[in-house]
Parts: sequence; C-alpha cells; structure tokens
Amino acid sequence: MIVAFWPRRLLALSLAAVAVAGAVAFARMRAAQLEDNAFWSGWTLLAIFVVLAVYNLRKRVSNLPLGTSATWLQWHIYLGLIAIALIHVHIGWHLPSGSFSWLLYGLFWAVSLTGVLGLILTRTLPHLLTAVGNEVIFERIGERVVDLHDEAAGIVQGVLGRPEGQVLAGFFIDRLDPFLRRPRWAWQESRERWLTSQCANVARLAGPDLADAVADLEEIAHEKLLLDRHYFLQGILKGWLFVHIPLATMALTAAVYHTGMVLWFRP
Amino acid sequence: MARKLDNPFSHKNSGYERPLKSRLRRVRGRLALAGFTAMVLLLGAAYRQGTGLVTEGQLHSKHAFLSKDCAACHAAGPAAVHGDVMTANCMRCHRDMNAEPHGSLALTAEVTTGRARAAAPETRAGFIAWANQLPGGRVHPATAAGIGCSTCHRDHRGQDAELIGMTEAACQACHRSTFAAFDRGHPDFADLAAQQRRQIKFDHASHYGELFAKKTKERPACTVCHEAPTSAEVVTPRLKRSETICMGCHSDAVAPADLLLLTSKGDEPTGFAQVAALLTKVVKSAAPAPDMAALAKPGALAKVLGAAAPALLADGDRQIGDGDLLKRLAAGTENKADPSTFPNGRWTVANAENEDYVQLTYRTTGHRDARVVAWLAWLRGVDQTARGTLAGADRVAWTKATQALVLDLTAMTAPTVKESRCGLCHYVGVDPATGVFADFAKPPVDRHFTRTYSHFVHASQAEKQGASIDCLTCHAALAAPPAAPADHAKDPRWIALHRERLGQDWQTIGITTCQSCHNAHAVRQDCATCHQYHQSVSGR
Amino acid sequence: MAQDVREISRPQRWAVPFDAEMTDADVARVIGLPLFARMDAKKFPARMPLDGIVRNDCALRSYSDRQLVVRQGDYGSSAFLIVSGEVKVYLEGDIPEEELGHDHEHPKNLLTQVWRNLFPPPERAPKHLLAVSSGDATVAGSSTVNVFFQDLPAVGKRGGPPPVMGPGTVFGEMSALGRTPRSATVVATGSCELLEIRWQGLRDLRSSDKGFKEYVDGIYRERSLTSDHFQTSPLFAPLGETGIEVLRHAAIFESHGSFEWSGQYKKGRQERRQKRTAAPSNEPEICGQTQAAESVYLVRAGFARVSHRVGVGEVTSRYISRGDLFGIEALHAYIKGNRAPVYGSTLRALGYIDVIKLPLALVARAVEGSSAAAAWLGQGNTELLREQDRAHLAPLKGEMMEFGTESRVYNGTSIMAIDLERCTRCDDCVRGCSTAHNGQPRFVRHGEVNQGFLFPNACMHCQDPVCMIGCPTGAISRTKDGGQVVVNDQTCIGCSTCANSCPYDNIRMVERSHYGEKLVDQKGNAVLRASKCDLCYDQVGGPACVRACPHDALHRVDFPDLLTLTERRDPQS
Repeated sequence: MIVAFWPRRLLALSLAAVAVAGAVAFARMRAAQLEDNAFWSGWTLLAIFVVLAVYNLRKRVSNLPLGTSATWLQWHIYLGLIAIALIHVHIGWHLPSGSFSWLLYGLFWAVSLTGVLGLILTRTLPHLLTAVGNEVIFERIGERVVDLHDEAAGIVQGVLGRPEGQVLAGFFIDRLDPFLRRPRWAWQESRERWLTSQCANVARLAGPDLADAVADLEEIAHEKLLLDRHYFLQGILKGWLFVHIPLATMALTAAVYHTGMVLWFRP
Repeated sequence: MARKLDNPFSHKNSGYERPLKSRLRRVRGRLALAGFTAMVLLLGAAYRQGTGLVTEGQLHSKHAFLSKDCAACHAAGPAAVHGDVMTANCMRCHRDMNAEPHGSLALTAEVTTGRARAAAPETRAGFIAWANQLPGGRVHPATAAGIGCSTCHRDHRGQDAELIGMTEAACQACHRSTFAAFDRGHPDFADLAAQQRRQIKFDHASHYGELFAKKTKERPACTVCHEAPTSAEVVTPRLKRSETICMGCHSDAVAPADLLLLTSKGDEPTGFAQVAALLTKVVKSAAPAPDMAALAKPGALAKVLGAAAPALLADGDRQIGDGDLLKRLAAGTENKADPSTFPNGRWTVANAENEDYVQLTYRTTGHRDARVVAWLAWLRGVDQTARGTLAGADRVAWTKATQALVLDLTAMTAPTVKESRCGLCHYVGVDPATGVFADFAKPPVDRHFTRTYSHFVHASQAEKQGASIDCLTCHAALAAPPAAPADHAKDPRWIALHRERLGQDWQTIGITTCQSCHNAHAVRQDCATCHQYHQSVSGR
Repeated sequence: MAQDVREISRPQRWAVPFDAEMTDADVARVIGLPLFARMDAKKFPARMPLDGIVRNDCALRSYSDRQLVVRQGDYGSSAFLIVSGEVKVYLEGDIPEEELGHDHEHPKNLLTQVWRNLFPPPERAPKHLLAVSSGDATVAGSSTVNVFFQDLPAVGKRGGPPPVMGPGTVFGEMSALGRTPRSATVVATGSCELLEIRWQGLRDLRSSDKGFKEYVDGIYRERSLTSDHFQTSPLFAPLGETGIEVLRHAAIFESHGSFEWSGQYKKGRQERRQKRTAAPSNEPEICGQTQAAESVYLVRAGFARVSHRVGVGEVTSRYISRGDLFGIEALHAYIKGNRAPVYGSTLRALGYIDVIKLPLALVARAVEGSSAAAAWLGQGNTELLREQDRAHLAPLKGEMMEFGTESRVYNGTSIMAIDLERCTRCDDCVRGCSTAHNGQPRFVRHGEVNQGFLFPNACMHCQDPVCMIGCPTGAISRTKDGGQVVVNDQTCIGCSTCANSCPYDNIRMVERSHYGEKLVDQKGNAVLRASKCDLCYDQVGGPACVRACPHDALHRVDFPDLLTLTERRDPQS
C-alpha cells in the first residue's frame, strides 16, 4: 500500500500537535492543583532524547528487525518537534538561569535547529541532485576526477607534437589542471560560463585541426563540473550530520548529568 | 613541460572524499565520541571546582549564600529519603512564618513581640500545631495541607525571579471550586469592612444618619470627615484629624478628668488596693502579702502601697520615674508637687490625714493620656499571666475585679458615673473569656483584601466614561447586620472585638457595582486585580 | 593485496545428484518403465546419457495413503511420473486453506540474525566443495513433504469426485516448465511410488527424445486449458460451467516468441540503444492494429505488449500478462453491431507467451447471453479506452509504461526503485544489504534512471524468472513460501548460466572464498558462485534495503505499483 507523503505529513503533524496540546493541558491541570510538572516532563524528555539518540545506533545495526529506518526517522522528526515544546513545559515557560541550565538549553536548541536544518536539506537537495542529471556515488567522485584529469592530460600530450598544441598545453597548465585538481565549489553557473568562454577562446586559437581535442577537453571539464555539483550537494547532505550528531551526544550527556543532579539532590 | 603533464596527483591529495569504506562515518562516530568526552570532562571539572556550572539555575539573590551548598536545601545522596526534607530545611530559617497566608493576624502580634521566634518549633508540622493553638491563631489552609514550600516558591529561576508571587492558576488551585470568575459567583463583600475591626468604634449609621443630621439639619457631605481622595491614595481616604472632627461632639469625653485610683474607707480596701491584694496573692510576688487589716488604718495604705509599689506600678507607670512617689504621696508631699515635675497629669491624695478615708486621684491630661494607656497595657499583661493560673471561682472573682479596675481606669469621673469614657470610642474592656483588652492601635488591615484600590483612579475613570459619581454612588448604609465570616463565628476574640459594631456600618461597595465594569467583557477580573495576596515584593 | 588461495576440484553439474540413494537397480527399473522404454538411448548425447539423467535428475519416492505430493500454490520445479499406485487431484478451493497447511518455510531465525548482524561471519564454502574429489558429496534436499490429510472431500468444488491419475501418468510438468505455482494439490491414494524428475532432467529428456516431448507438451496443453483460466476471468466467469464448456471446445492454444527469449532481448536491447530504433524488434506481432478482429485472446502465461502506432513508432498503452484479455474493444464493437471490427491496437509477444485464442463471434454470442458478462465488458471497455487516452495524454505514466515494457521491468514483482527526489545518496540501503549478507552487498546503487527513479541492478524476482532456465543443478529456484528467486549456495557450481540468462544483468558472479581463502580450481581459475538479491527471504523483517532507507526513497514494488509510485511524491511547484 503506497501512501502519499502529504497525508502522512499532515497526520503526523496533527498527532504531534495533539500530543503537545495534551502535554500542555496536562501540565496546566497539574499546575492548577499545585502539582509538580518538572518530573514527569523531565523523564518524558529523557526518554525522548534516548529514542532520538538510539536512531543513530539503529542505523548501525540496520539488519535487526526493529522497524524500518524510515519509520524511525518519522518518529525521530516528530518526537524531536514534540521535545521542543515539551522542554518548555519542563522549564515552565521561563528562560533558564544559571550557566549549566543555559548550556543544556543552548545545546538542546542547537541540536533541534541543526536537525530541522538537516531535514530541510534532506528534503530539498535531492531535487537539485536529480536535476544535475547524472548519478554518481560520492566516494567514487575522487577516482573519477583523477581519471578525468588523466584523460585530459592524455589528450593534451597527444597534440604536443603539433605547433598549435602549445595553446592546449598552456590552457591545460594554467586553467584546466588547477580546475581538475580539486573540488571547486564556486558558484556553478558562473564557473560554467567561465569554462565555456575559456574553451571558446582556446578553440579559436588552436584552430580547426584541434577542434575535436578542445571539444573533448570541454566535455571533460563539463563532467568535472557536474561531479563537483554532486560532490558539493552530497557533501552537504552528509556533512550536516557532522554538526548534528556531536551536538546531540553533548546534549544527551548534559541531560543525563542534569538528571543525575536532580536525582541526587531531591527536594 | 612533460613532467608537468604527468598526472600530478593521485586521488589521495585531490581533496575529494576517498573511496575508503565509511571513512566519513568513522569520523562522525569519533566526533560524537569527542562531544561526549568533552562534555564529561567539562562537567567533571566544573563539579570538582564547585563552580556555578553545576548549579541548575541561579538562586534568588536572597538565597545566594546557599548557591554552593546544594545539600543545604536538598536531600542529597543515593538513599531514599522520606518526608519533605526541603521544607524542613526551609523552616530552619523561616520559622517565623508570620506573613500571610501562612500565619494569621494573631500570629503577627506574637511575632512582633518576638515570642514566636523563640517558641515556634522548627518543623512545619510543629509550627502549624503551635500556630493553631494560639488564641485566635490560624494558618492558611495551604500551609496546613502538607504542601511543601517549593510547591509555590520555585527557586533556581534567577537572582531577581519572582519567588513569592502567586499566579491566577495557583489561587484557583483551591479557590476555583468556590466560583468560576469574578462576575460568576465571587462572594459579595458588602459587609467586609464592617467585619473588620477599626481603630475606633464608629458607626456611620448613627453618626451620619442621625447625630449629624440633628446637628446640621441636613445630611453632611462625606468630606466633612474624610479627605477628598488624591491620586496618590489607595483604599480609604484619610480622615481629617480626630481632634477636629470627633472632638466637636466628644470634647467632654476627652476632657481632663480625675481618675480615682484608690479609696480606703474603713476596713475594706476598694479599688486599686483591692486589686492589688488579689494581684499580690496571685502573682506571688516577692512582696509579702498585704495586711488588709493594717490597710484600713490611716496612713497604713501608704505603707502598704509603698511596699507593693515596685511590683504593682513599676511596669505600668514608668513615667513616675521614681519609686518614691507613693512615699511622697503618703507623706503628703506629692500634692504640693510642682506641675512642671509632672506634666502629664496631676496626683491628688484627698483627705490624707484622715486615716479612715483616703483617696488617691490622678488627673489626666485629656485625650491620649500616656499614663492611662500604659497602665492598661500593663494590666493586660498581668491579666494574661494571671488567667493562666486561675480557675473556677477565683477566675470569676478575678474577672470582676479587673472589670472594675478597668472601669476605674477609664471612667475618669467620680465613682458614681460608672461608664468608661475610653470605651466609648476605643476597644477597652474585659472579656470574661479572654480577659483584658485595650487596643488603641490601628489594627493591621487584613492583607487578603485589596490594597491597591484607588478612589481617585476609579472616579477619574468613571468621569472619563462620562459617568458622574460621588461617594454615595457606591457606598450606602448597610441594610442588615454584617455576618461574621464562617471561620470567625466561634472565635471569641473576634466576637469580642466586633459584637458592638454589628449592624452599624456602611457597606464598602456592592459587588454588582464592581461587576458593572469588572467582568468577562470589559475590565480585567482576575484574582490579582484586587487581591494583592502574595504578590511580588515590589507590589507590596 | 595478497589473498590466501585454496585449490579444489571445479564443481560439476552432477556432482550432487538429485537423490543420492538412486541405485543401479533403481535406474534399471526406471528405464524399464513404459515411458522410458520407448526412448532411444542412442539419441542422447554422450555427455548427457539417458541413464545419467535418470540417476542424477530423478528420484524414486514412496508415498503412503493420504500423503501430500504437491500442494496447490507452492512453487515446484519438478514433474512426477506415477510408477505404481494412484493419486487424486484437488483443485483450488477443494481443500480448505487451513487444512492444506501450507508448509511455510522457517528459515527465519531472529537470534541468528541478530548474532550475524553484530558479528558478521566470514564466507564459508559448502563442505562438499572443499573435498578435492567430489566423492563425498552430500545429498541435495528432497522435495518430499510429510503431510497427511485426515479428511479429504469426496466431491470437488466443480462437482463430481476428484480426478484420479494412475500409473504411467505424468503430472507437475506445468510448474516445472512454466515456472508457475502448482495449480492443483495432488494426494496419494493408498501407497504409491512416484518418480520425481527435476526440471533440468525434464528439459534434457524433452530435447533428446521427440516422443517424450510430444507426450509432455500434449498433456501440458490439455491441462493448462482445463485449469481455471476461464473461471478466474471476469468476462467468462459469469458464463457458468456450460458456457465455458462451449468456449473450451473452441479454444485454440497458441505460443508466440521464444521460450528462451532473454538472450535475444539482451542483444536486441544493445542494438536498439545504439540505433535508437522506434519500433520494438524481436517482438513477434500476434495481431495488428488494423487487422480484422477474429479472435479474443486470453493470456495463459508470459507477457505481451499492447501498443498504438504514433508517428512512425509505437506507444505502449499497456502490457498484458497471465489472465488478461486482448481484443475486448473489438468484442465490444462486435456486440454493438459492427460485424467487421479491427483490433484497434497491436499485440506483440514480449519474450515468450502462451495464449488461448477464442473465436470472436462465439464469445460475443456467449457474452450476449449473460448480463453480468455484458455489463463487465461495457465497463471494462470504457476503462480500457480511458486508459489508452491517458497513455497518450499523460506522458509520465505513459513513459513509465514505455520504459517498463522496453526494459522488461514489467516482469518484476519486487523491483527496486529508488526515488531520486527523496534519496539523499546516503548508501544506507547498500550498507543494509551488506550487513544482511555477510558483508557482501547484493546490489550497487547504480543503474538506469527513469522518471526520477533509479533502478539499481538488484534482482526483480520476475514473474517469469528466465535465469532459472539454464541452471544445470537447480541451485537457482523459487522459494516455496514467497516465490522469491534464490540461489542455493550449496549446489551452485558457478557456471554463470543464470547470470548470462538474466536479461537485466542482475546476477553477479563472485569469487568463492572460505574463511578468507580464495578458492581456485586445479587450473588456478577462481571458483565462482552466483550472487543475487534474495529479498532477504531468510530474514525477519523483509528486505534489508527497504528497512535501511530512512527517507522512504527505496521501494520494492510489483510493476503495476511502480506506476503509482510517482503519485506519492509531493506536488512540485
């Protein structure tokens, strides 16, 4: 059964909203009876933190039948959103005071915001990736670029014997070689224009006999451009986790410490 | 050139991610581990150093001295702790919980004399039991209900955070069951003022409706007695000085008068002497028991008094200043005293030479005679002590004696006019159950009620709305006697204080008048609008 | 990187016989049976002698009274010859499903799965391979199941007692040859002895002996017609038993295309790619768009493309497979009064197709007699026409259909499709697959892209798994339970036939190793084994790739569902 994403999103959002509203109402009810709200919300938050953190472990033991990763991600997203509301129930809609409270609160927001940012990236960048046109596996981009460089060097070497081959050699050394050496994350369209104009210039100087060689070089450069686009976009898609996950471990550690302190020094 | 065209780099230095298996993921895992380690190190170091990092939120500035000692308030440790440890810790400092809602007005008096501080037990339960056994002592139900201090007083919210304020929701935690909103079921408070004791006995009904009218032939304006409200004023507009208002009619009641303190006629000592005898007997003072027979002899009184004087008068009459007064009186020298020596009254000993009939008289200075007030206060103290040791017939006799004595002290006329002049306006007398009372001070206003109401603001608001209001718009004579609040109905002290005033006053303001603006649709009507109950310090 | 190498003898087809207990006497007895006695042993090639086939591809099995022989719905790849005794045949519905007690395989062991996930074991080669001489070969799994029925119905669903088959009869050939589930349940009556012939043997017997081929093909046709194709068709079912009987008598059985089509397809696909030809090649036309309609076609097995001429090429409007009808537009027109209708679209065989051809006029008459059938025809036709319109108007769905048909993806029942609009290229799917299969992923996240969907080279578990055709040992087979196509590591000899047969290049040959030692034969060549997606059939929780995808991007879908996958996407601005 294939369910479209929009209905699922709506349903999950409304369920999360209901959960938050329920928690807020529950907290108000308890507050009206002069009962404490810090403990239940704190334990719930800790449980949510653990569930959120365990998602990373779940990914590491992908073969265990613990529900699909997609289901986990859904829980991860919406529990995370619920946690943002719940932490404010927990601290009574006050801003925290004291250095440790601020540290924990700040870490929580940092994790939440990087998570939301990651979600947005995760949902938008694939469109851009698909629009690039080709598909390439991230880890193979380096190899491919090296191959492209070799290929380009080969082409240039092949025409070195000819007098006009120096034009290509110069072009290769001054322009193409630095370009093919490493990732270029400059604004892609401007680089594309730059490439086209460079190649047009070289083609004019190299003459009709080397037109094919220039076209090949241009093609190589163009592929490198697309590879860079992939490298850039896929790099972001992988990179945001480098911020999110360490922050999350820090926040979780701080939360556990907080729990320990509260348990040790009871009212 | 050829060298340059060789492949100048392998993908190892190409700047791209190498196709090694999961290198990125390993780095990510290490970063996560590093985050954990950094956090543990940071927190561990902070904990060892005991810096502010370990505190869970700043304490209020008044508790700042506790901020490095968690265990000062919290139960620290792994073992399960039963009971409300933190509240017990609160009570270590906050024993004298005289302030509302935890204490009552009665408690306030105890506290101000310093006795509560000494006597109040350290635990909350002990405190509540102790407070409730005080005469008229009462603590707010929230205090008695076993709710910990931290239920309402949440610290760790910053140096300047609200620590004693109560939210609407918190009030409603208990009071919601009574009514839903101000315009929906709030109890009327028309006779609230009537239930409150004031400084003097005064009833608008007789004064405004009858006495003034008789005098002026028409109803006077309120401003005859009350100052017109000013913007700075809250609650009750000030009265004009009683000397100018009350004395217009009551000048004879406060005129200097002779206060007959002592009459010795034949064998029976009366008045002060009689009481003194009883006093001596009860209080078991160091002085020997007065010889009643000897007292009856001329000149004997002075001797007896002279012996008893330190015990009897030292407290009550400090202004006499020297214990020789009575000796001098007895010697007949006091009558010749220079008025400048005794500016606050005049002593006379009548018939000093007649051993069968001797009278000691004190002429007051008029209103607020310091010596009379002091004597009453002293008497009240002695009375309270004595009552604890008396029972049965002795107690009845004691009461009668003190009644007579108080009347003697306050009648300030010839013995034939047995009417207390002080008691006409002031709460002075003897209650058979509770004993002597003599309260001239302005009573504390029950803080449960509004203290921010401003006539000026309300009037100007009404004028802005186009309404013209005067005092009588809101205030009208009570149609029926005010009812005692349920929890005061059996309080003898309250009854003693109020019974004379039942059915004699004005209503402050009818609830419907308030509700015409304060309702769900117009002006705010939450609890804190009128009840300053437990608001922040700045609001007090 | 130097790898340890271990020499073994190269595994052979008959290294592991179907039944190791076949004695010389058994072989002689089987060859003495009437069916085999007629065969001319001399016509068999020397490397594939008759007695060799009997010894290695056949097994003598004894059954007791009421014992289950084959079960309806199971996948099986062998046929049976009744040596002695009798069996009864029960069609679908005769025996209640719960009594039938489908013998679900229980390879799923959660604990093992958890253990293997945490500590992936190194690859181990089967024991019998490691012996340099193949003498101590172990026995391949027998297909005998020990299930007995207590109460068998005396009367079948279609009235009358269940048919009885006696000695000399062959059954089970439909599943063995057609790679379809068993169409009936067969139960032993009294004790009986059956010769089980695995389909490789059946194939070799058919190719070497003409008489055997004619006999088997004859009963194959006869039985496939009597099975309930008519009953399950919404057009014919309302006609009732008598109406169907009339049609059955008039039915003509036809086959189009080549049974082993995949090689041609692979070659053709490359050509088409190079030349960008518009018209499909190697797809025999069954009937043309403008041809006068004379028959209604009912697909018995295989696939056919229904297309329309657009410009100089053809646009695929749909594909039809088992149980589908073709010619109902013409039938509808005929009933409406057009006595000379044309087909209106072209029907081409995709690979190999078995169809039942029914005279148009006869069908029209039968349908006119049944209001239910007529109503379905009216409705079905309208839907069909609307669908054709859509195929022209909605390029997306049409394109996916075109792609699916052209790439033969329609064959797939568990196609891996990765929605590139959602895929973050995190490779969790490959990692999941790798974890599930001892650290050796069974696919690469690379392949054709269509409509923003990536189709990696992972086995689609075809309706018609042509990879199974050439397997000499039966190592590649369908599981009984879910019908997944899996390779048995124990019996795979690494001959690469399946990998070459697969039209989609979804089977890879990998080098065998044993605890890190690379296995080579005496000549020093690596010993291979076939590796392909097994849909994690032995794992709790289903395909690891799907479970590992965090973004709902990776799907395993049946082809018709593929068309709806795009509808799931968020609307794009």
